[in-house]
Amino acid sequence: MIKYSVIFHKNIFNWLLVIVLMVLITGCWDYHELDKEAVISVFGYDLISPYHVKVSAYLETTPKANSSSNGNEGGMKKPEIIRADGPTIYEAIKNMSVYTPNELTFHHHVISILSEKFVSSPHFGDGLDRITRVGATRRRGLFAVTSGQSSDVLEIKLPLTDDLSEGLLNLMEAAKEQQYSTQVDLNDFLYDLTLIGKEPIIPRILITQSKSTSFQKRIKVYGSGAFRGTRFVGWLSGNETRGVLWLRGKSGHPILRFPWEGGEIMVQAESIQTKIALSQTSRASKEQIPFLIKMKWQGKIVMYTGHRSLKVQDIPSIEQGVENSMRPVIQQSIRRAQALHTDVIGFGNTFYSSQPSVYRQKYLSQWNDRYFPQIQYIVQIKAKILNIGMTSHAPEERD
Amino acid sequence: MISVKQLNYLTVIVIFSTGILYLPSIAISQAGNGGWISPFMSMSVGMIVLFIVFFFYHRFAPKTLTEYLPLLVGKWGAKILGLLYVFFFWTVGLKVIREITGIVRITLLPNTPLIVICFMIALTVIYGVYCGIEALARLVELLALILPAMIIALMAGLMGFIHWDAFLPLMEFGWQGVIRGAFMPSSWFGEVIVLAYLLPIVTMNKSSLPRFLLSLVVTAFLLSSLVILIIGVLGVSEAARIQLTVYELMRYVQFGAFLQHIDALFLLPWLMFMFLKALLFFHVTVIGFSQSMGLVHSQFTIIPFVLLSMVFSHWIFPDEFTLNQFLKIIWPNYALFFELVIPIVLLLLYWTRRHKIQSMSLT
Repeated sequence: MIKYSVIFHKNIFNWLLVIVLMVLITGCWDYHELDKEAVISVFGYDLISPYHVKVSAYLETTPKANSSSNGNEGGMKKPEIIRADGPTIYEAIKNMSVYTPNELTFHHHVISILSEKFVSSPHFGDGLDRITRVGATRRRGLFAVTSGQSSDVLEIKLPLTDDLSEGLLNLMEAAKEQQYSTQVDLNDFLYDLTLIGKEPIIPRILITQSKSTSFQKRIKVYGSGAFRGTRFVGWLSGNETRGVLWLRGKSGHPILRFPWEGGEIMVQAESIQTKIALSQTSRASKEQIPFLIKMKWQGKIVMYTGHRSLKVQDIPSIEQGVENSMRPVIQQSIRRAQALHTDVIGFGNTFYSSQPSVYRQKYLSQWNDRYFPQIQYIVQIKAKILNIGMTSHAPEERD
Repeated sequence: MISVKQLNYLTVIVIFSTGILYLPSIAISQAGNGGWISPFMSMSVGMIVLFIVFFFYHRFAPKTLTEYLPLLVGKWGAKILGLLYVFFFWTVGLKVIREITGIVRITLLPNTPLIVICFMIALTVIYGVYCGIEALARLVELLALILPAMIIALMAGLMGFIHWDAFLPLMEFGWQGVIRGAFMPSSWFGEVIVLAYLLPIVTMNKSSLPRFLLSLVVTAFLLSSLVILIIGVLGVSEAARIQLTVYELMRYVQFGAFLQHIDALFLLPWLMFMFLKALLFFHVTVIGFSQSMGLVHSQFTIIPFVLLSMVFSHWIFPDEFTLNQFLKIIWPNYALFFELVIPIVLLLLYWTRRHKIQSMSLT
C-alpha cells in the first residue's frame, strides 16, 4: 500500500502549481485595467420631473502610460462630464454607462451634489437605499446641496485647480473651519437620519456671479440645507449654520467680531464645548419642554482696530463681548430651525437620552411639529480669552 | 504536542474570527447601544463549557472526547455520539468555508465564480489540515499579534469619528435586550468544546484553566471594543441594518489624506484567522472520525471531508441571505445543543455513575 504522505510529497510541486494557477485564473474575472476605468469623482443628482431623475458624473480617466494626453505624457486626462436620466436613480446610473466605453467606478468618489428639487422629492430617500445596498460608494463620500441644477456646479472651473473634487473638498474644509458651513459625509448623514430626536443638515453650494469676477461663475460653500428625515425643508444661512454647529458641539475655529472701546475686536475660537440638558428648574407645561444650554468658549484675540493698550483687567469685558455676540447667533438658529419644524440641533435627542420611555411614548411622533417649536431654553455662555496675541495694541503713528 | 500559549491564541482566534462577522449586528439589533455588553454575557457560556471540558480532562487525560465517551454512554452510544460530534465539527468547518467564500465574493472578487473561490479555499484547507496541528499552532503564534494590532489600528483610524451621543441613553433596550443579544453569539463562545479534542496534545500545567478563561475574557473584550466602535461610528440603526458591519468599519478607516482605502489590509488577516478556524475544525473532524471508526491513517479522510463540505456548503447555502438566516435562526440552537446541552448531560451522567466509571477507567 502506498502511503498517503508519500503521494503528497511527491506531488508537492504539482500542488503548488495548481494553487498558483488558481490564483492567476481568478484574476481573469476580477481584473481592473486603470486605463479602462472612468473614475467618478463628483456626482450630481437632479430632478427633471417628479418621475424622472437626471444624473451627471464628473469623470477622470487615466490614459495608457505610453500614450500622450493634451501634450503631457501619462498623468490624468482632462475631466469629462457625462449625463443620463431615468425613472429612478438606479436606472439613470445604468443608462450612463451607455455613454462611456470605460467602466464607471465609484471607488474614488469624493462628493455628491444634490439639487434642491431632487432632495425635496422621495427620490433622495430611494437613492440612499441604492447607494448603501450596492456598496460601491464608500461612506466617506461627501454630500452637498445646491439651489440650482447640480449639473451646473460640475461645469464650473475652480481657480487654481483642475480637479473639481479636490477644489470642492478644500472649499468645504475652509467653510467648516469658519463654521459658515460644514462637511457631511454619507455616514454622518445616515447617523443623523437614524438617530432619535435629531435631523440632518447638508452643506450648501452657492453659485455666484459678480462684476468683480468678470461675471465668471464661482462656487461658494456657505450655509446649509436642513432636512426632516430624507426630505429637504429649507435653507440655513451661514450664521444660522454656525449656531447649529455650536449647539451640536462641532469643532472649528470661527472668528467673531464685535465693537469694543472705540474699535473692533476679532476673536478666534480654539474650542467650543456645548452641553444641552433638560432643565429641571424652570416651570414649564408639558407642551413647553425646558432646556438648559451651557456653552464654553475658549479662544484668542486675532485683531483689534482701536488704540487702547490691552490690559489684564480688560479681558472680562472682552469675554462679555464674546458672550453677547454668540447669544443672538444661537437664538437665531434655534428660531430658524423651529420655523422649519425640524430639530437639526438635537434637543429631541437630549430629551430621549434623559427620559427614553417618556419620549418614545408621548413626544416622538409629534416632536418636530408640536413640541420642538415651543421649547423653552436658557443659554449660558462662558467665554475665556486664552491669548491676546503677540502685541498689546495696534501700531501708532508718531506725533 | 503544542503549548498552552499556542492553544490560548487559537481559542481567541477561533471565537473572534467568525464572531465579528455577525455578532455586532445581532447584538446591536437586540440590545441597541447596550450591545457592547452582550459579548461578556455570551462569554459565560464559553466558561461553562470550558469548566466541563477541563473537568473531564482531569478525570480521563490523555483521552479525547471520543475516547472517553464509551465510559459515560457505553460502546454503541459512544459510537453514535462520537459520530454526531464529528458531524457537528464538520458542519462548523463547512460553515466557516462558506463564510470565507461569501466574504471573498462580496469584498474582493465579486465577478469570480463561486466554485473557483471555493476550490482555492478547499485546496488551502486540505494542505493545512495535512500539515497537522503543530504547524497550525506555530502559524497561530506567528499571526496572533496581528489581532490586537488590527483592533488598535481600527481604533486609531476611527477615534475621531465616534459619536458619543450614540451611547445615550445607556442600555436603551435594558438588560433583556442585552441577554437577547447575547444568545446567538454564545454559540461562538461555546466552540471551545473543540478543546475536548485538543487538551490531550497540550503540555499542561496547573495554571492552564485560568489562562484559558483569560483567553475567553480577552476575546469578549476584543469583540466588545469592536461593537463600541461600530455603535459609535455607524450608529445603532445603521449597524443593525448592515450585513458586514466590521467590513463597513474597515472601509471607513482613513489616516489623514494620505492613507486611504486600506480595507484590504484589515481583510487579509481576518481571512487568515478564518482559515485557521476552518483548519482547526477540519483537523478535529478528521481526528474524531478516525478515532470513532478506529482508522490508523486519518489523512485519507481529509480530502473527502473538505470536498464534501465544499459541495454541501453550496447546496445548503446557495446565497448569503440563506446563510444569514440559518446563522440567526437555526445555528444557535443546533450549536448550543452540542456545545452546552450534551456536555451538561454527560456531566450529569458522570455524576450519577461516577463510582462505576472511576473503576472502569482504572481497569
